[in-house]
Amino acid sequence: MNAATQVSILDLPLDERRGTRAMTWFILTELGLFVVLFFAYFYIGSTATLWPTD
Amino acid sequence: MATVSAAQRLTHLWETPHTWWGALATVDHKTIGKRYLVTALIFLLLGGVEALLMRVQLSASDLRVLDPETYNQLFSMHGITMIFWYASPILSGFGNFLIPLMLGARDMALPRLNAFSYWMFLFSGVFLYVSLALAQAPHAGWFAYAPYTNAAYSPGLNMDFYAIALVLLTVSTTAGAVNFLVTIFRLRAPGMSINRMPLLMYSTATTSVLAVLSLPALTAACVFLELDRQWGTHFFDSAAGGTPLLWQHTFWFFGHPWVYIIFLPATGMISMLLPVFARRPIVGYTWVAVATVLTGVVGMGVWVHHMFAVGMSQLSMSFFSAASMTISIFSTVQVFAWLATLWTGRPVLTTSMLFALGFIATFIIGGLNGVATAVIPFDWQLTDTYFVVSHLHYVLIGANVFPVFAAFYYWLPKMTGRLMNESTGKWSFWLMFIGFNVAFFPMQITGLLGMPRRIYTYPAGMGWDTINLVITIGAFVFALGVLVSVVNFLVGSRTGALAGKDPWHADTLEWSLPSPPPAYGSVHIPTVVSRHPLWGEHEEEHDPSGERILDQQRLTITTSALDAVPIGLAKMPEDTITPLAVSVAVMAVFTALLLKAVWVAAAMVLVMLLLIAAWLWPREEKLA
Repeated sequence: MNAATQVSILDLPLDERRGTRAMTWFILTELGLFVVLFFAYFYIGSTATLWPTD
Repeated sequence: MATVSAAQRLTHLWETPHTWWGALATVDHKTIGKRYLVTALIFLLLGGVEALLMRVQLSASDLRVLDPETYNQLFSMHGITMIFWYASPILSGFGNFLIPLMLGARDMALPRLNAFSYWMFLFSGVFLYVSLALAQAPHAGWFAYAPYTNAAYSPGLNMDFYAIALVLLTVSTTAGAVNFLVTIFRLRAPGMSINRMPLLMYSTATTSVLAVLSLPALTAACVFLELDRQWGTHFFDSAAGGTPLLWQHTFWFFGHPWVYIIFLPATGMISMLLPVFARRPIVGYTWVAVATVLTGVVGMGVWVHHMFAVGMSQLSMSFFSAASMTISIFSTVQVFAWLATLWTGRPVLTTSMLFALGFIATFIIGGLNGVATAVIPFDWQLTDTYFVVSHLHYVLIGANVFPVFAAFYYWLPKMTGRLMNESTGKWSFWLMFIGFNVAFFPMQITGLLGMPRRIYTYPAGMGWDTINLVITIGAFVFALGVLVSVVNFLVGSRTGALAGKDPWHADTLEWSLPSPPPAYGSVHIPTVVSRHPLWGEHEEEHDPSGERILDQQRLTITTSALDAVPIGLAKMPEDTITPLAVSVAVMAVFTALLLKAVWVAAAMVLVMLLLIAAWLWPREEKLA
């Protein structure tokens, strides 16, 4: 038997962090969204003769 | 007797009532997985009918079966349906059903989010197809290049349906990807360390990370498109300071990883079933796992190879050309691992195995003509010709449809408890394999002869007529093969021979369960001491003290990410209607936005927030 089976399962604490872990990935997605928004800003800026337009 | 009563208690805890309410409220991963599979198969058939209509139109020169606008809508809907509403969701279906069972978990990590993902997938597809019923379907191809999609050139609601449906689908896919990641890294059975995971976990985890990182680009692109079309911005309007190339960059930054999202889990399924029918463990497990992950890493950096013809600097094109060639190395590692497994094993030619072999053959052709188009001067000659249509179908049908059908023949006995008819399955395979090659190999020739893609007809005298007629015949043969399998699935699921627990003598944990598996999975959450738990002596359910039954309330074991050491007990939610209600509210918000009913949309946002609060509200727990 390996170490995994020596742990008493019923003594384990309640793990309520699944949502936190999921939220970490969601925040990464949001980060990706902001990366794309900044990319769009600078990419349009690089092709525009006047930037920012105002 | 103790086990029988534990099974009864677990059934009471986990089984969804067989009522309408239960059907709408269930969060059972197996039910949701099967729903994904059935829905995605329906979309496959819809996309297939669209393809056949196009092939009738192109079977000879100067035909007028379809008018240009209808043809544009059909080829756009065909691509959109197949790529977004079939190819990835069908893999989500297999993942939903199989992954918790393979990991020895009771359910996905976030069951309510799982139900929400499915409802959003279904409703977004219905939303898209409403456009076809209104004759306002998207008509600018599946990648919808600006400026064709600007309001000036596409004034109807066609491209609004496209943009909004895709945003809705990204909500579903992102939620699904996050769920897979948390499940794979937290709910593996004790002892299933990362080097003992089934290879399907590597491919699913890799594609889930790709989805999380790349989907925001699609969301942003579609929001820009809607803002341009409906709210007066100019992201893609070069006359007003925008640039159409922004669409191409953002779309393909998402689009190329998406190719791997719909391909890697399929290869993962092949890596699961091919060794079983070769009667030996896969050769080079570690190499295949690493190659899978590296495909994902490099796959994030090749999107510009879709844009070689737009006029960019030599340096950037050279970089992306090199990256595109590099990525073939990782696919080649997998192909050689499968070939070595076959070579050193004792292959059994079941229907599932035939589809796996068909996949390898077609995928190699698709890979080779893909490398050819990664060479920039060659790409310049062939871009927007039927050569590219051939390539993408060799990759997408080769690396998705054939593995998916292999997976159906392999896992449907587990899902339904019954074996599919093998000889009917083999007929289906040969019809599909021959039909596929007759349909798509000649497209390389028409491409080399200069036939552009997305034309609704062509004049006589171009030398394309005969080849196109052959292609159309091949397409119908391929469709017949698909239909034979679908009928086989329907009939076999009801009247096939009983499958038993493990009809293929397979090695992974799902085969230790009855077919179909009970609502709770295994009575004792298993422990894993080997990469192939069911091959050789195994005692994964050995639990003399009964501590891994967990039959007092809905619980499963959470484990550490690398070594799968138990770290906690996770409470799992009861069945609830709130995921369905929230997805209906989300649909209402976006439908109101489509119709520019801003106040209705705002009201529906409030309703949605209230429903989310109801979702999060603590509930009384059901005890056994």
